[in-house]
Amino acid sequence: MLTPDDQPDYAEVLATCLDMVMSKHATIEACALRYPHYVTALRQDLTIAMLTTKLKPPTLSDAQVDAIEARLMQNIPHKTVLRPSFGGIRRQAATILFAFLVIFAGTAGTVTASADTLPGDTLYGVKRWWESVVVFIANIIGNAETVWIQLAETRLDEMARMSAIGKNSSQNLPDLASAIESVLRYNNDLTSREYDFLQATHRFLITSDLVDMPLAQQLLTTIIPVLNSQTEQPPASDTLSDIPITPTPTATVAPRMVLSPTVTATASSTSQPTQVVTATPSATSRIPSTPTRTATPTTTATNNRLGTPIPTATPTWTAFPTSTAAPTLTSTAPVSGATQPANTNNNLPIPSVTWYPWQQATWDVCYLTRTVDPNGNSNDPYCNSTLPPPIDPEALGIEVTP
Amino acid sequence: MNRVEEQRTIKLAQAGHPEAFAQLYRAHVQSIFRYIYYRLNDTPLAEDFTADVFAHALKDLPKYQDMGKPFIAWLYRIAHARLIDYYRKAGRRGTEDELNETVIAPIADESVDSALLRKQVAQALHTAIAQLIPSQQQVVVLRFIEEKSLEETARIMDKKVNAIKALQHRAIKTLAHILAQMGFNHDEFLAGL
Repeated sequence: MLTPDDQPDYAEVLATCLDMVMSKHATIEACALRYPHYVTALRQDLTIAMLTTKLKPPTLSDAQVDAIEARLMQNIPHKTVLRPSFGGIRRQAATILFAFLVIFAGTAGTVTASADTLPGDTLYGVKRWWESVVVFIANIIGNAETVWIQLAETRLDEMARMSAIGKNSSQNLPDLASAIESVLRYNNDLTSREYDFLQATHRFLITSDLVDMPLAQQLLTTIIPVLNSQTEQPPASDTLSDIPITPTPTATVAPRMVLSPTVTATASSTSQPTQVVTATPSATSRIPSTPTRTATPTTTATNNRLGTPIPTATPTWTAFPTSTAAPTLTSTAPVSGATQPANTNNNLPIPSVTWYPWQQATWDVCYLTRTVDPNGNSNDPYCNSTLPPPIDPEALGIEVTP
Repeated sequence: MNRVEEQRTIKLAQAGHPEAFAQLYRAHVQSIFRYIYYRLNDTPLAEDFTADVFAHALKDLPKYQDMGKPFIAWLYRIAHARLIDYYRKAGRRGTEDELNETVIAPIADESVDSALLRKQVAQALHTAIAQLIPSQQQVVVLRFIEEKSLEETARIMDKKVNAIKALQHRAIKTLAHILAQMGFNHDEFLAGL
């Protein structure tokens, strides 16, 4: 006859009976009788176990507990910080700390390796993080506009490369939109570089599958009037050294004066366009209103008065929008010389005159690193508007020609 | 103290709040003392060791990380390590102690003989538990004295439930063997109940 020790499941049976007896769902005898093979062993083992449960456990008296506690408390220093609370460090200070670590601690390898990454790549987060560091520093030293145009070009380049390899870039459209808005926010007069960028963006959007998306159409609505409003030769591109967005370990920053708004008497958004375009904005819009298009538009460049080619789309789409209203600027597109509509976003502080660099920098970092869905809704309450409060030229005593 | 409260208290203690550590101490001091007592079988020594365990816990608290196990599991590991050090230096397993006369809860109106028998059984049981190997001792203390469930015991001892079942089986068998060697039989065990 097999003994309990030979039975492979005796430990299981014992555990089951222990649970039942200790919880008073069965007596020792009753449980033992359920397993005839093990009845003798179960009686003995269960009895010893239950006897053990009846032992009064040794305990420390209250006085002994207090005495030990007093000894322990004497060993705790008054100002012991057992673990630094990182959660209390402000976001700006953390960014500065990261910036110093990056610049001086030599993380160049990883940062450099991330330069050509695309959304979805492993090191893409490193690339975006580095950009936020650069933006922050640029805002402090007053070289933000150069950084924004570089970032905008990078976003457009990423989307173009993704489209070229067949990847869906629609999730990155909000990033491009944010970058464009930042360029337009900082620049009342477009440099030729910024102008070329807007043209390239326009070209990309109208030739891509993204053109039917609401955000893409909103961008085109923003870009086209800005392109059309340029009546003078754009100033030469900034010749000062740029802050390298493609990260290098020895990034140098050329100091610039703090941005001050320069307003010149230029046409408003509703002025007659002077460039030769295929479709006159005041008559029709080149943004198709139908969600589908039946032909791939071909683009032909037409030089405008400025000598800069403007892409024009041969209207081979099945439907052009029937709206005849001139595309007017929405409140999201600041244009030089125009007084911007009042900021209705109650969450943003309205600067009385202008922001301190650290305020602007903090806002910019938030703006750059926030998440925006294709409908333009942001997840960050600190900078959840699509545009920060603009600097009011009139508040600065600058006359604005309507 | 449930898990959420415990985690919050631990974080406060790590941030340097003495009252939070005091809370953790009071929640677990008796369990740690019992565990050490059965290992040493010496009440004053067990009291000193308990203080020592919590002093080490206070010193090492910044390194503590919640790995999904109760805080007391970490305290037991500290206690085990301190006891190993003590045994290594002292070269002994602990001294016999005079057992409390009321180690088994008395039954009202029991006879002198049965009371004496109960006391003898209790004393024998204490001695037997003290002779178990540490892992069997711990499972006996946790399962039958602290009355923890199999799952709780498994979490504290960082073992699987099946391993705990096997351990408690071997622990009970060893206790039975030791008690039999002391001359106790099953009827006397029943008298102890």
